[in-house]
Amino acid sequence: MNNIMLRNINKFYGSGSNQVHALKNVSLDVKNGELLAVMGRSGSGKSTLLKVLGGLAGISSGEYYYDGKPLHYSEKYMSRFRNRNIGFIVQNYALLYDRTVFDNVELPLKYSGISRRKREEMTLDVLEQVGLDDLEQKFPYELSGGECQRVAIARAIVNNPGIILADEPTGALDEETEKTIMEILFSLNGEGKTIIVVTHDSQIAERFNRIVYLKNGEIIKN
Amino acid sequence: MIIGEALKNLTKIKIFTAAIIFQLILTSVACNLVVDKVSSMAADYNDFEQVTQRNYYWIVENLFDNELEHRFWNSESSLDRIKGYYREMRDTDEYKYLEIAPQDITIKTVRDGKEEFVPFSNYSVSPECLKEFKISASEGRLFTEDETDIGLSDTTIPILLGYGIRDKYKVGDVFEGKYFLRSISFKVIGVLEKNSRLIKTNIVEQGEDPSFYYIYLDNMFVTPLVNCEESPSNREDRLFEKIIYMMKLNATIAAPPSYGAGDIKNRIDTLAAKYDMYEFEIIQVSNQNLNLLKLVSKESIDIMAILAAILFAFSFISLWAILSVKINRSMGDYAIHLIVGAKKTQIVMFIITEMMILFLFTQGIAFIITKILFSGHISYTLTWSGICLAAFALAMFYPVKRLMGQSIDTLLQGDLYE
Repeated sequence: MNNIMLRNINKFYGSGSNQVHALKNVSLDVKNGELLAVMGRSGSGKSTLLKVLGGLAGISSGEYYYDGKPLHYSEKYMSRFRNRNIGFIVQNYALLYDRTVFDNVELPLKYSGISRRKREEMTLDVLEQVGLDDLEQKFPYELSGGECQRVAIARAIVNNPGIILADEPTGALDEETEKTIMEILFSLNGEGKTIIVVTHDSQIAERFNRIVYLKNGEIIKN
Repeated sequence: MIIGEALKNLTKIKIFTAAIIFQLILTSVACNLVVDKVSSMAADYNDFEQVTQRNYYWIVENLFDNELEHRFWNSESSLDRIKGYYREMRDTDEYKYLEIAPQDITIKTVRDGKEEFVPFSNYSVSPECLKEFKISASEGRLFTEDETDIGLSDTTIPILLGYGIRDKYKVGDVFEGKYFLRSISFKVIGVLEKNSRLIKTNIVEQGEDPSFYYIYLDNMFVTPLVNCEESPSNREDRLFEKIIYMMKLNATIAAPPSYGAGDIKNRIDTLAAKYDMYEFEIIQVSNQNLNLLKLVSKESIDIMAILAAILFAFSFISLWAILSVKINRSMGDYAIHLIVGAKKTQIVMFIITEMMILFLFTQGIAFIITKILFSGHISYTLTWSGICLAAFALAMFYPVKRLMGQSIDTLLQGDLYE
């Protein structure tokens, strides 16, 4: 069964003469446990597609189903889906710089209503999984880019979501760190999670089961 | 969690938050000062307006140690006649009969093991007088009509403390002293509001017109000018009643414009004949001083109102701007909260809680500073707190509206005001 099913999705930014048609009639199916890369040039709409998939950006028209349930009807459905099923890793890490690594990773668990003791246990587990257990009391500004990205990954997976969406997760990292980050994502896929990564690096994309190419907001190859 | 997140957000940029708090406190202290002053000037103006709409007459007995006076007081029935005359003069709907007697009391104190009576300023007045000048108690209560009626065997009368001497005694305290030469116990029943006042005619040289001036009661005691219907059995009691009732006859009459000096003279003449009283003089008191005060007050209010409007507009806009910037700066962080599972309503609650913490904290500090700086002369008014709250609400309105309508992606981009 297809976990995610997009049908004729259109996404516009701005209005009037400044309007940009970022996604044009995009239809896409993503199966449970898939390892999918989204590629395309800058401005092709790949990041927008990822944001639409993760419910961070609303759609202008079209249909979005998850496990057969329509999400496009209401922001409430979408937000519930996002909170339960999606772990999001954004390009610039999106960390809270006044909070420690531990606090950043723990945050999603607070919103899930998990008890303090359980939260602590789960946070430490996931920090160990991404190799950051010795940096838990550091602040993001004390970390390297690779370490920040691992914090972002830890935060994305701490709630054990089924789908991980990553927007250029290795964009600003050196080769060695890039390798480490990709290994973490592949191992998460090995655990059965769906991984969708936006990248413009064909070498990285080659290692994925499936690649979707976007151009001017349209899927040109799937 | 909401309070915790709000506090974390407040302490995130310490210098910025400190600057906001400093600005809010300063603005609150200054604006409250203006609000308090304008309110008090407006209240004064209303008082002047009310007082100058009436005619006031001062009734003075025409006795100056002459034969008439001796003949009157040597009569056995003089006290009964004076009491009857007083009752009829007082009990009418045509005018208000205001009894105002500046009469110091003495308070028994023990110094170096010796008892002595120390004088203190006191005004003895009738309950009608308290009503006329809208005098009220900030603590405890005022005395009632019943409490002004005493018997010769009564040993306690109620007493009120002016606001400035409120710390001298507590409500309920009883102390010994002298009242119109009589030893008596005073029971504190209340403290007057700050700036309580009544009008009094000045004592003038012959040929001069008397006019009104205000007596502020903040540093005085206020006692009832008592009635004593009981017949005295000894010289001391008789003297006490004589002084009391002579004071009561020297009253001020507040009459509507339709009730003139001629009407008062007719009434006095009729009652004086009925009770075989001595002569009285009716002095119409000039409102010139009060009219002048009213004029000056009006001009001052107009100027202060313009200044207040400018200050409020400036404060309101600066508060709104600074708070909007504060909320806007946090939008990126709020978007991160949304990515990791927060609901938009939770974010709105963060914003409201953060603003309420700021509001309550700054208002609390401003209240304390006002109390310390102006030691009770300026009160912290709800008017300014209300204006301040409106600025907070306006500052929250636009960001919250945008927050509810925007996608997380847009919020992550940052500035809502672009």
